[in-house]
Amino acid sequence: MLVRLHPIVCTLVLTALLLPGSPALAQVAEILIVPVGKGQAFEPTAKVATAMARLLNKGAKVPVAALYFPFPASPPPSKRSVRKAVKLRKQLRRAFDQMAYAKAARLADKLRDIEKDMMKRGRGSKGYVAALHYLAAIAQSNDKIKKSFKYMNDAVLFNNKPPSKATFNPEVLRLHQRVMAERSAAGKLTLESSPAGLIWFNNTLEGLAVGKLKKPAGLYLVRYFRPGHIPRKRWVRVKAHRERDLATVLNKDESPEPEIIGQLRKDAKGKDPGDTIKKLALEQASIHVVLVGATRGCKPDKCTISVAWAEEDVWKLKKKARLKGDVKKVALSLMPELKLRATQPDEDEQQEIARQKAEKEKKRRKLAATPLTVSQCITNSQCPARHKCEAGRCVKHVPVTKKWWFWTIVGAAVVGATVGIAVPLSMPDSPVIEVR
Amino acid sequence: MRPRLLLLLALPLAATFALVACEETLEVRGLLDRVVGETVTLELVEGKKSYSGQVVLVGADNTVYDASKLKVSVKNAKKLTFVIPPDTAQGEAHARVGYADEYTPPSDGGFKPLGDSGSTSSGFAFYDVPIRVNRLALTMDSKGLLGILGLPPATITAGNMSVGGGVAGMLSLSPDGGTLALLAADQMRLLSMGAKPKDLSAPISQKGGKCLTALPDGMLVGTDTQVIWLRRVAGKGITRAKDFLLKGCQDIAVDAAGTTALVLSRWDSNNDTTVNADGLTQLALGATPNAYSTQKVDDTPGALKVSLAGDAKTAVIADGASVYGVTLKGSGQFGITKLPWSHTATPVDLAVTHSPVPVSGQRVYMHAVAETAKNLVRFVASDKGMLKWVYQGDKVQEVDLSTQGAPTAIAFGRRSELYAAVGSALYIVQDLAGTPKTVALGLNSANPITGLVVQP
Repeated sequence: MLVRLHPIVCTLVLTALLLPGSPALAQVAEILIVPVGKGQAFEPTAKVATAMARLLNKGAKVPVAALYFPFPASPPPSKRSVRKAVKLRKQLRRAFDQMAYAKAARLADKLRDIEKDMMKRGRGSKGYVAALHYLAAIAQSNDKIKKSFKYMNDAVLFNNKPPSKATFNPEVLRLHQRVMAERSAAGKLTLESSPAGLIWFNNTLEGLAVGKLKKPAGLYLVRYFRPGHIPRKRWVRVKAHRERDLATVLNKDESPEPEIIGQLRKDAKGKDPGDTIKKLALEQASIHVVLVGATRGCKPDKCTISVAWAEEDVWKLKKKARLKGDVKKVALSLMPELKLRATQPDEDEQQEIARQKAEKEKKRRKLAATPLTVSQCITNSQCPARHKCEAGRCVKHVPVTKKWWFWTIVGAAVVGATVGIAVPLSMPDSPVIEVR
Repeated sequence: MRPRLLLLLALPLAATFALVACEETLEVRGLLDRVVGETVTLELVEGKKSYSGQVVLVGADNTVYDASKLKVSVKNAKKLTFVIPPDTAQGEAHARVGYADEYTPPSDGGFKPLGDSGSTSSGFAFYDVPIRVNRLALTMDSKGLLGILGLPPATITAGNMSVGGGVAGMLSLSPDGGTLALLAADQMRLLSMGAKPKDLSAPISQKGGKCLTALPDGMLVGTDTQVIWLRRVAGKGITRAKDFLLKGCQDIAVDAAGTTALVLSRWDSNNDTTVNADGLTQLALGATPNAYSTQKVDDTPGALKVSLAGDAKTAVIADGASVYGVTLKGSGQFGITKLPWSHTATPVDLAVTHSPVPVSGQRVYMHAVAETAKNLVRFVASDKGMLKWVYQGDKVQEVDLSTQGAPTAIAFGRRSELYAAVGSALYIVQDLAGTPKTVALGLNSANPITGLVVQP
């Protein structure tokens, strides 16, 4: 069942989700842009979608727009690898607890390599990040500051949650904070794929693998895909202040286009946004879904781009633009309303907010003007607000919460309870050392 | 003031009070009276801040011993052991164990102690565990009674153990002061040092024992026919590592590392079944044990004692009427020189310092020779590769024990502290480099003392 939320509420929720430290950073954005072009139209629609996302995110503290295109699922990692990783993690924890750092470093290295291999097969980054936390802690304990920074930075690129307080000492947590605050400098990448395909860095779809891109230094799991071609995955280290060419060749196969893209293309032609769009918006926690498609006869160098912008149940905009070469220009021509939408509420919403404010003010004034009269009565309903009928007279009823002694008791109780809870909790366990 | 405002103010105040008022203090319990060379286990039985692995020991004289000297063994994050190293001063020492909660890796591999436990502004935070370090003198008397005396300021009471069954035995202390070897009543025993030495295994029967020396992990025992090397192996107890076929053992000495030993023996140099010389043999006690060929000391069988410096470079032999200086040249070869000895009396005992001490502007191991003609103790040390008597100006440096009586045994303790047994009493010789002064210690054996060792 679809839950309809007011856009302002959605924006607030999304902003909260996008706060630094949220693991959802890479996935959640207000505007979801989906290139839905097929065959010859794939490349121009992906180009325009990429340009739109970059323009919308330019200068934004948190990304407002994200590209969407599902990456084909891989066969899961072998059970043997999973078991080995679990075993290694246990051994690593034990060795680390016993401060056998040389052994722990060996185990963490092994674990990281296994996890990296499994991540190529679609496994999550939890184990990989944990191994990097251990490696960072060990490097730090060996006074290898640069190395520890590098490991922690690699971990943060996947998950910016701090390492477990139960496992690591405050120095490691401080290292995490430092890495989060400093974040390593960026390196430049020149992207190229033949034929042009989409490129993901870790779990984020960057767009079409063409042109130049700046990324913070660190190790990334880079994935390439174009419908009808074999997906490719590789680990790539981006070095600060260095340039690197990232070129790949995508080999053809019979793999079909992701089903959802076909459905979205179909929905784009409908009178109203279909269920697929609504479901996608809900899944990706986005408010707007922008489908970037193309009209018939589209070719990579000459194409008419059609944009369908859905918000909840309605099409807010359907627009076309001719793409002849300058992708940015086309993207800009399709964007103004989207940008406006992303930054401020529309006129109706502004009027609604103003109306609600006026209503509240009116109520407040009315209450203030109500006379505190004392008059004869039989029932409470004959008395003004906040008055009770007592012994035939309306008497102003002062609720218990307005009595001075009530708050004194509450205050004393809260302070007592706070001290009672806080003192035992904050009381450090006095250490005891037994000498034998 | 509005009650709700009051409440808002009161809450942070109460929380602050609660946090400030609670300061953690370390409780230390267990056996705090320990001796040099003893293994100490520190287990964190309560508390969350586990050990970081950093340990130093600050002696009563503020000397800091780092992990390399403490033989630290980390069992787990809350349990570790270390050994109180030789040279630690008697008195209250402090084991400072870094805790992981505020652990910062050392930049220079060492440990930077702070003024207060728990301080984190610079350096490392640590648990401060006070330990009362004692140094023991052990004596063997003519009735086989082992006397144990804590040297002042001692916190453990003196005691004794009967080990010889009414007959005098032999005792020897390993160079690190942690192991005591006993040969008495036809039994060999190996004990770990503590306030009360404890047997490391059941006694081993051995008849005809003539000489003995303790090693850090075992002992050497010589008989008329062989020298037996006993080793303590973890999990197996004491094993017989090697029998060296050396006859007529008189005395054995070992270096600080326990890898080189010298055996002084009555030697049949021409194989005619008659002992006709004193011989000196070097033993290598490494992974491939070896006895080098015996070298002749002199043609008169009568040598009594041998002392070997900790660096295995110099040795001294006390013969019936002579004193020989020996320099070790490697591969079992020696340079043996007869030192000028004006007395006709027999030297009775030898000792050597446990560590190099300052002699004539250089740090060398110093040997001491006790004799009974004039009841003197004289000193020999290496000078430019030659063993010579140690001089004060133009006069041989000596300790005069004529007031006390004839010395029967001597031993060095920490650095250049000299101890001498005279009859049934034990003395310490103070100010050895200046004007030596002899002070009696509170040990009066019921019988004459025949053997003496003091922890380094």
